[in-house]
Amino acid sequence: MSEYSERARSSTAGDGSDGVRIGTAGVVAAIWCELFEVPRVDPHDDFFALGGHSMLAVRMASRLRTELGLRVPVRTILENPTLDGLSQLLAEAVDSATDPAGDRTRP
Amino acid sequence: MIEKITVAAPDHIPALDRSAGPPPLSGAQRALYLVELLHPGTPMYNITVAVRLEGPLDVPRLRGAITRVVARHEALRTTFVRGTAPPFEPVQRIGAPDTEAPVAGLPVVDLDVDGTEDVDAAALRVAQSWADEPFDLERGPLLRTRLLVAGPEHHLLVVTMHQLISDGPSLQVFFGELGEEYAGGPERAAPALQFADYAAWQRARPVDAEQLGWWRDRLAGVPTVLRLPTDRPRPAVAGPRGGNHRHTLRAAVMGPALRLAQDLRVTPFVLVLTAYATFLSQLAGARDVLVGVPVSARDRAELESVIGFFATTLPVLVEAHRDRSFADLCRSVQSELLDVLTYRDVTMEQLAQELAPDRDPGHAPLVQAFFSFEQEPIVSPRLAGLRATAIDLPPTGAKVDFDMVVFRSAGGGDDFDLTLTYRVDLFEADTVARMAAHFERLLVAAVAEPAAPIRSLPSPDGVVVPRPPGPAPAAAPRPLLTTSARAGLEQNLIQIWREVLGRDDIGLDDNFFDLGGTSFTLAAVHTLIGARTGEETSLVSLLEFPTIATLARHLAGDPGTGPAAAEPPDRARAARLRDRRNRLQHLRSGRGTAE
Repeated sequence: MSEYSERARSSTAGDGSDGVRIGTAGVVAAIWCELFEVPRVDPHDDFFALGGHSMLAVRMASRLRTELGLRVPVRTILENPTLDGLSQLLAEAVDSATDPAGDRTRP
Repeated sequence: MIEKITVAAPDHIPALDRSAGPPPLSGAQRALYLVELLHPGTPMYNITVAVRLEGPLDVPRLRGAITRVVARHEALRTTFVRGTAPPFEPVQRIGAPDTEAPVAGLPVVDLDVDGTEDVDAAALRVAQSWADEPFDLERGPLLRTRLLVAGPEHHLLVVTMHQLISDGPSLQVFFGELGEEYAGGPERAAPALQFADYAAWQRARPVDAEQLGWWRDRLAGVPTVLRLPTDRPRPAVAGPRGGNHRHTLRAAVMGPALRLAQDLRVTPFVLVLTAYATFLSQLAGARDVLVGVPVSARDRAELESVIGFFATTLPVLVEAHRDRSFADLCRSVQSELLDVLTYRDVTMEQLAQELAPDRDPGHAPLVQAFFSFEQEPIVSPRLAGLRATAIDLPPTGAKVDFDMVVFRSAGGGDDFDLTLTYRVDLFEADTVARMAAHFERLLVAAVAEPAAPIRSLPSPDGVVVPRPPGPAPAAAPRPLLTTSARAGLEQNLIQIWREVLGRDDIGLDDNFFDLGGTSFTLAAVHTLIGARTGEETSLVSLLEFPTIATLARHLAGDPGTGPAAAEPPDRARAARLRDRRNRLQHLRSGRGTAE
């Protein structure tokens, strides 16, 4: 189990779907810290302002696949450039993936 | 579909069973290896970093540090062996850490300066000559480390790797670990995966039809020849010699450019690439420009500390309509680049096979201009107790007509070092200097008024002044063979083809590639022709004459088959010849990246 999942687990507060949501945000935040080489990130932090570039988005997509089991288009990362916006989108995708009745994909 | 977020299990790269035989080359390595076979003995794919070290250097400790880094990374101990039996696929040979002493050798050379020359300039001159020494891919080693002593506490550590085993991030890994080892840091384990694991995994993956389909649609009808105005007429076969022009893009230029990129929500890479493509579009008088950009396969965490050639070059299409604004063009280039990254699991070799009429996989690659841009210096080495400054030393070899590489300067701040590498058989140094100055003018103007249409940007008039063509170099005539000697030669060639292709039904007018030949089987033919007939010919000419009949005529000295033959009156044949020339000019691309 990798470091981000450890961090993500420890940031999972409460239970139920809130837990999934906070857990997803924690995973995404940990990935941002690692890739942008910063000690902490803020929900309003911006991919471009942090010095993001296209190959970094590719690496981010690879991390998200490993950590969340989601295949995220690189375009989605650049089109949702704030940490908060991206986390919310991914949390919804995780929700619908874990809900057996739900749609397993989302646009 | 690919543009949605979907659920997907992680796909891990398995460790390769090393007892099952030598590992294959990755797709990108294979394409690059072929270019090396076609143009042996050039430094075109050397990657060199010189590090100026000021302070008391402990040479044995540095040598020990290099030895330990080499022991950890198989790629630094890898050489490439030609296939000896059909289908003649080359393989990687990984040397054991303890038998590869020469790899870790650090010869120490005293700098010899006559009184008039500046020490730094003299040191760089020597380092450049080392950077230009070709590697022997079969014998190796493909890492060279040398130390130049310029003064009592002034050294230049020169590290050269062949591109087949390295890329930009590999340099960072190498110098990062070197610094730790030199400082006597704790022992570090070898990475869990090595490059050979990746190469075997990558080669075993099926070609993604959806991805190739996207490329086929995207590049349909796009011109794959960029007709830049040149100082000299284009020779039939591209020469490998290159020149490097260096130019500094000052913070006064780059600062506003970086801020504009952020405002436009595009990356700095995209902004500078857009300016470069606009510049090429102006020079070539073409609206659509294909630029080769480096794309790394190093997307996974487990590959980040692995040394190896993970780079590939893929074409980005820039549609520089003259009425579009620079800002608008930047956004569309960003979108285009995202598509390229989405469909990046192809190699230039596959695209060339798919999109070029020619079936030979060595034939390349669609683009004549490359671009790379890094927001960081090439490497930032740290060696305990020393002041270390890295200097990028590109070889004097040109992969394509024009290659622009931009790195942040080592000194920090927003200064960027720009290197334009160009083919010396096409361009004069002073022309390229004017081009670099024009590029900077264009970038400044575009950043100052991003909403203005690109037709209002400074014009390149006077940048390239065509010179009158000099006399064409006369090829030495081959001695003419008698008809019976030529018939004997044909029989010899047929026998060689039979052995190499493993079939008997070979006609004089059959095309080698129609009979199932590949570039690597052709390389085997090349070796056998030399050994059996004593005829000296280049591998490139075997590509040019793919039938027994035309090849025998060429080897027999029939002047009608020379590449310098006069333009024939027949238009169809003229078109074929032009096409052949274009293919030859592109043979040499298909590289990885300068990063």
